[in-house]
Amino acid sequence: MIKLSIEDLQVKLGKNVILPDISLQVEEGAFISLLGPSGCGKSTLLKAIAGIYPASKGTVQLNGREITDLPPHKRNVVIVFQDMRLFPNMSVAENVAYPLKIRKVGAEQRRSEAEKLLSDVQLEGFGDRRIHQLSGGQQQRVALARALAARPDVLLLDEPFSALDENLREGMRALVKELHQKFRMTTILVTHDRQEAMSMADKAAVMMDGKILQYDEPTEIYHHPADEHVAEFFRDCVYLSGSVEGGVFRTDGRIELPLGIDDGTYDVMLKAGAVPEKKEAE
Amino acid sequence: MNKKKNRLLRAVLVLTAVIILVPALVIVLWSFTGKWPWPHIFPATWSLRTYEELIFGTSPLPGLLGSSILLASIVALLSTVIATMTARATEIYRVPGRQLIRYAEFLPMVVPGTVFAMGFQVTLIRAGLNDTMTGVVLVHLVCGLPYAYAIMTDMTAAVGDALEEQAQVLGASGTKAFLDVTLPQLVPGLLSSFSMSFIISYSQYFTTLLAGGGQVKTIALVLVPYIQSGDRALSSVYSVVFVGSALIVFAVFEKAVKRANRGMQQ
Repeated sequence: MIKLSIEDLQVKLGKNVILPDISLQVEEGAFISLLGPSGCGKSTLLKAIAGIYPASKGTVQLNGREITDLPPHKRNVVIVFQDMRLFPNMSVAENVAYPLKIRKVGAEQRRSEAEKLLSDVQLEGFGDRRIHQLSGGQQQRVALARALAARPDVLLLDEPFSALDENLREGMRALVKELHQKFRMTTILVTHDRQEAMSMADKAAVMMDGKILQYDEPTEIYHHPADEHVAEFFRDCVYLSGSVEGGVFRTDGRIELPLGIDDGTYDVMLKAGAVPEKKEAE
Repeated sequence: MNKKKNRLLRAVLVLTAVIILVPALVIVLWSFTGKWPWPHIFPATWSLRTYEELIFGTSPLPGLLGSSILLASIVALLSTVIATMTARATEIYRVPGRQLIRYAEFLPMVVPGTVFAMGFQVTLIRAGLNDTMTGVVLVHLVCGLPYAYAIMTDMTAAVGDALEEQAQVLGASGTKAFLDVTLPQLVPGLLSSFSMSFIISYSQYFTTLLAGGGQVKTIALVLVPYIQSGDRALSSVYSVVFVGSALIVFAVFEKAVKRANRGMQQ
């Protein structure tokens, strides 16, 4: 049962090919992360999924329905942006209720749903405030509540925590996970924070230069990186260049390593052994 | 410190008010003047001759006011709409040739109206639009658009389309997203653009004369010849009407906008 399916997607901005050929399958209700350095095309991929950027080749399917050529407002795919993008001409409750208003939900029901969603993001009673009266963390939570109000098939989070303080970020991550458990909507989190990507997601896709290098479970990526780019992105590691002769690997220096592999030139990669534990406050 | 600053600010305010108001008061005084020979400080005789001419004369005031305000309002509305759309094309959609559009929009600010009005007149005659209201609206648009466009480009670039993008992914169509999210943010720009174009159209003389051929009458059109012919009393009374009516229009306009704003927030 595949929910979101991207096949051979190509995205061009002007004459530049940002994403040459992307394929990605996300199962229903899954929480995946798109991880990669800035400029690798992960935000572009999100905007292409949401329909803000048109695809020049390939398809995007949602529940077997092709949505490649649908305009953004007909896809039911919502992005929460890094810069929150709350509407300054509306109150907090009006912001949250905006997707409902578009869907012609009555005023009474709008108000009660907005209140419910605000309490879901721990902002009970903030409905009448103006946007500029909120802190950054509160604004991010309003943006989250507003996205949930649209009841999206796919929720896209574009580095939603990077504008927040470190101590706020931890709380927001927990909240997002909690909301995902509760609403069970398919979620894609874009981030350049490795720990965030690995700790929050069921599966992670590592992106570089517009390509997905590896798409797997976090522990799998950690222990068996697909290539040295993925490995390097995840941790500091060291390569020893040398060659194998008669089953023994030798470098120019004095390292000798008996390995039962065919003769030839090899790179040996050294990396720290265990997945680092998350530090708990003592 | 703060009190001192306040007092200084107030002094500057009062000074500017005096500098502007006192000469304006002299104009009001002149408009009631029969004879004012040198070296009298105040007019020697008073008269309502100018007001008679103003109200019952060759171009009666109500018609004159009506056509001036109507003309300026049409020009202001059209130039604001055109400027908003053009700014959107060049700043958001980044249409090809936008540099050329920006340059062309700027040209009427550089080339004096008296120069391009001649060529414009020829075009109007060919199109059969000379001596008509439409012709005058067109030539006033050329004068007002550069300012409206300059205001709206800055405004549009500052507002951007980030919020519109957000509204669209939340389910709003392009038009709805623009109306719900972008338009409210553009309001200050729309108001300045409207006021600017209004006052530019309101104070056009030469272009109105040429394109309208005297058929389209405005206050400025009547006022300027009196200044040139040296009838101080008559030019003063039209100046009073010119400034006064513009002020009244802006006051009404501001009040309407405030009421509309209050209505929107409820």
